[in-house]
Amino acid sequence: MFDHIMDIKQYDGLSSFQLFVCGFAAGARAELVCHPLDVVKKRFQIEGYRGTQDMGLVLSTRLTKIFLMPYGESIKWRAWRDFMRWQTGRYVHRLLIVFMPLTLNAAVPHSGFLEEQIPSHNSPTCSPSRSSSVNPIHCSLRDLRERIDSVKNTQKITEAMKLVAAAKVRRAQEAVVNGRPFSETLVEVLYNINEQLQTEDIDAPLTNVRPVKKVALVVVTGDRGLCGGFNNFIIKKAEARIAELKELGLDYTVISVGKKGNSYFIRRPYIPVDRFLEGGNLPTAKEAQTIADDVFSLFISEEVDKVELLYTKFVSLVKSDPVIHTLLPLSPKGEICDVNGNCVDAAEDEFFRLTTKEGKLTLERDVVRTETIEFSPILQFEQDPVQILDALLPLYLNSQILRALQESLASELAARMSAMSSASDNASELKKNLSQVYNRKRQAKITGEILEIVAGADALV
Amino acid sequence: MTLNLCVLTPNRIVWDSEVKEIILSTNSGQIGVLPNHAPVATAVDIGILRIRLNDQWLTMALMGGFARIGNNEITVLVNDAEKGSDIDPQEAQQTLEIAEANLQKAEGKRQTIEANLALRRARTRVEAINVIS
Repeated sequence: MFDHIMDIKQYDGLSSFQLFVCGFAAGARAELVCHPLDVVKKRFQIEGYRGTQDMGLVLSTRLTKIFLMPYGESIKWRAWRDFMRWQTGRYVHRLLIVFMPLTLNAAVPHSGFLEEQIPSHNSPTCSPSRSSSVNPIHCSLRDLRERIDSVKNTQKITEAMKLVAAAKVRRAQEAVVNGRPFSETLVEVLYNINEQLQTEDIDAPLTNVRPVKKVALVVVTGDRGLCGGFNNFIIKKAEARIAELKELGLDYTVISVGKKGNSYFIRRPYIPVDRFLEGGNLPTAKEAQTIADDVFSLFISEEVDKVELLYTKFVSLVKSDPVIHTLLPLSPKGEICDVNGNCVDAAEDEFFRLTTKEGKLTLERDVVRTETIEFSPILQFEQDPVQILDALLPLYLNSQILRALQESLASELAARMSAMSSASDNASELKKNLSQVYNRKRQAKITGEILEIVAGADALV
Repeated sequence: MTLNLCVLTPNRIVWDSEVKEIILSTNSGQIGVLPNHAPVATAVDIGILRIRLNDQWLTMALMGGFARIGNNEITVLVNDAEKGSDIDPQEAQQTLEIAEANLQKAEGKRQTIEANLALRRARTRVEAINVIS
């Protein structure tokens, strides 16, 4: 190319094409040198350092000076001055954060320029920036706005779910209260009959204690998710119990109640499951009856020798305890026995109440001992006392199962309440962070536009 | 002198008011209770409870339990109770047919026990609607 241009001396004048080539080369060289520096300058002006918001404003007053001074010197001076200003106000460890963009921007100016041009119609894959993270967000304003909207919606949903769960806990509590007259009267009658039968040997089939070869486990889980670790706890407890039984060399079968437990056991065909049952919204006597029937027939037909009930006991709004109770064989006095043999007297009824204390929802558990009134001494038993006991014990079984279902439901609702509450808190924090970043970007964009306009106006002058 | 009748199930109170007379089905037959009855404790079978209020009889299907008759106070504890007026006739009939079919198919001691129970319950429900008097 240069040889061709050297030939110019041989001609009288310069052809228009040659002129054009000269002009083009000169312009291209000028652009090559000035453009990167331009970008660096703009970057410093707009991006600033983290924390110095007023960078844009301060620069705009000195813009003319910058155009007059040689580019390289102005940028270096500007950069170092603001860097020192910035550093004194921040923690020392942020040094690293500043050095990286400094070196990167000076050495590879293109990368910064290109990133701004990423098309925004891609799904926003923005990494969120927390106050202590290293990566800045590289999204467009629109993506950020969409993200903020979706987080806001999610927060509304989780808040609503929390309130719904709180309302349902109250209803579950009412159900327990409604069932109390039944269990109180039952316990009273049971006590009195036992007193009359103290001398005799009771031989009701449901109290039959046999050598244990096979155990049935009734596992009560929830129907829906989003309740924290509720379902996992109970399933883990069930697995632990199964392992224990295997070690003792006992056979076992599972009756699973609740959709979550069902789906877990369906995926594990190596665990023998007797039946899958689904609970409704509020456990009714009919559902308890189905489970009781199943358990009853299993026990009476001597297919299993022991039935254990696994459910979550409602301790408080933030704490639930998965417990194992021995359902069958029943003790004739109506005691509820734990797996380890700790027995609770049936007359001591524990029930929970949801109240407010100091403006916060709390739970109070009261232990009520039912008054056992003496039967009138001339009370006749229409049938054999043993037959009457035979009729009473299934009632007792039914009420135990119903109580377990109700407590399990109450603990599931409490777990959902606390899980949704923390989800709402996280969502508002995330929204706050995103809004801050969004505002900063928006302000930076406006500052950039102002700079361009002023620069353009200056260039004309 | 009226009797105070209380019918309780594990999740709610089905009946809690005064009646004139009741007829209860127990394991050893039906017993009628009038005011000032002697105190009795009895097991209640899966059957019908008939209540008389001022010359009008109401039926209720009971699914087994226990009854205590004291000083003009009757307490009936049952697993489940349904008022005759609350039962849908077609649905009850269908349940009965299904229960009968299940009993035919039942194999083994355990299934037979379950099927028998279900059949008795379905039959009681159907009877509760049909009996008017």
